[in-house]
Amino acid sequence: MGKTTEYNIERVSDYKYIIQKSGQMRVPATIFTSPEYLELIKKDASYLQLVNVATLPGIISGSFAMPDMHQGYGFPIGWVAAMDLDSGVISPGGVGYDINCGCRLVRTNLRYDDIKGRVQGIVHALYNKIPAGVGSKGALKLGVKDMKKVLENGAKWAVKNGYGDAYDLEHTEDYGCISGADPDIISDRAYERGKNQLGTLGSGNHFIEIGLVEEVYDEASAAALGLHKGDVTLFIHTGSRGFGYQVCDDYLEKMGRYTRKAGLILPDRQLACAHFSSPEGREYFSAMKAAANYAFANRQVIMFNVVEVLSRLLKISQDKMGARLIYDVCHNIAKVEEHIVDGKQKKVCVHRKGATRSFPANHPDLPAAYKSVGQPVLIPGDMGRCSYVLVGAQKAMTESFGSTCHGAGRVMSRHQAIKSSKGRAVKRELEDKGIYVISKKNKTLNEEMPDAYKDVTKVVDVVDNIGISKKVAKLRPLGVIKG
Amino acid sequence: MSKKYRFIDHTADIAIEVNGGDITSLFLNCGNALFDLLYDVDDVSATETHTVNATGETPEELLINFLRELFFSIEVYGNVLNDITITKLTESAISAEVTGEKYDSDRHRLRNDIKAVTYHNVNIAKSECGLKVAIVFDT
Repeated sequence: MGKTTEYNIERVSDYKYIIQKSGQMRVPATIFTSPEYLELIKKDASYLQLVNVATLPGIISGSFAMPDMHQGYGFPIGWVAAMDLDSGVISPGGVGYDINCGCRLVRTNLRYDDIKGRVQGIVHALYNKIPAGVGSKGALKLGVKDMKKVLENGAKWAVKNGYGDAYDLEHTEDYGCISGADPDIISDRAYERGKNQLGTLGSGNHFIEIGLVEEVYDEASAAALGLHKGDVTLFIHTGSRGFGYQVCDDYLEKMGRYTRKAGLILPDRQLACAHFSSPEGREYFSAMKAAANYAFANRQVIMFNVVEVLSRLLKISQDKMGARLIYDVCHNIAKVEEHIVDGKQKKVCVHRKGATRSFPANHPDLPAAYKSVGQPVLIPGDMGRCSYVLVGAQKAMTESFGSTCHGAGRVMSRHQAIKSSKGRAVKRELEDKGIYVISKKNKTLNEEMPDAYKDVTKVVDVVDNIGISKKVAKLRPLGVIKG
Repeated sequence: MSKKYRFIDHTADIAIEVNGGDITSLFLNCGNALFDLLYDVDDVSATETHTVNATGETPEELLINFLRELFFSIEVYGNVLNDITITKLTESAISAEVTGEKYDSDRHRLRNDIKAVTYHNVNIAKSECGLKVAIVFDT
């Protein structure tokens, strides 16, 4: 902490800053942020981490920081980079432990009056149905054969087994399944951890939130997404649970060995990586896809259960409730995508660690429903403020390899948050604001209190101002289930 | 038990600095720090003994891999552990006998949620009292 920079951070515009290439850096580092949050970035070690990852072999054009960037371990959180498929690397740390941690947003025909006075009951019913908390398990128990199908087919497996329908797959990034996952390379430990955690929320910053569309900024886009002011929404944030953690752990160890064998000099052991084209690189990519598919299936099962609980509790048929998935996005992932590099279309491996894909209208990877409006981008805030829905924009393709921010970003460590919340009743403070929150542990509420995060509104304003995604609507939380 | 570690500030996660007179006590103190972060060790009875093995190509990697093995036993097999006896420690391998029991939510008080032990900037360095190392946990 309190480190001063030996790097010169140059201002390009009010929302864009650059650290020119120097020393071992192969590319410059670009920071999308506001003057206010630039000061926070200077205070924690995140910009040094941003510079460190600019030294990775085969990194193309730049190491990009989103306005929600904060200190991670090895890689900063809120980071994007594209790697060359021949000379570049793939890194488990550059994806993160919680592979395909992501968000999904559901719209409903419900209006505030339909749930007024019942939020507390809804929150408790959901809390009873969806296992939450550290190591939570028990929603579904899978044998090895079924686990393999989940790893290969992702949300498609869930839909095939009665958890949702084809519409849901159409409205999920990668249609809920990344092809090329090989379940036979997955360790026994990962199977052990994954077999009874499908359909569970987990702990930390994961949540299920029942909210309301509070404000619409772009009526046409909001209507295309099925959002109207006053609509009740459901927001789910979770990932691949212990399964993804084990895959990451397994390959961090393997890639440590590769790094030494290949003679790669890295500034931090946690940056362990392998050339994308090497057997080790290919193997991790395939295992990562398996974990990504597990996460897609997890969010699909949770959503199905949430909608079912709500329909039963409110005694409204699912048809009448009209719960429909708007979109499901990944924010910890590596993907092969086509981008323009030096004026030419090129396949590259984009790492997004705490960053969201933000493809513009007419991008070939978008489903028909969003071809004219752009990809929905879901940005959760802290539990006491608000969340945002944006859409992808053309500028993301030229500025940030089709990417934008993923959340508010922490400003306070969990330890600090607990200290500073001492004597405060976070749950009560939120209730006074009309937000009913429940968590497995009270401590989680203190660690996750709103003051521990940047203001998501200011974060979203940065990406909207740069034009890498555009604001569509703001959601206000009414009830939150924390892990 | 007096604490042989202290918290270091980290924006997203838990980071600690651990001291030890020599490499064996550093490994022991790191293991005990992990237990202390996760739950109240005073509540744990030594009714079971587990053997924990780890390997690594550097002392740092060996240390993190050892902690990962302890963590796996706790997280996945539902053990709470309270005491470590190191039976073998070379530059690239460690074996230890670890005592503890199965986690019981009525008797064991949990503390921090940790999800992984990272290799981030891990470096065993000389200190006033022997050796020190900083460890970052994903939370």
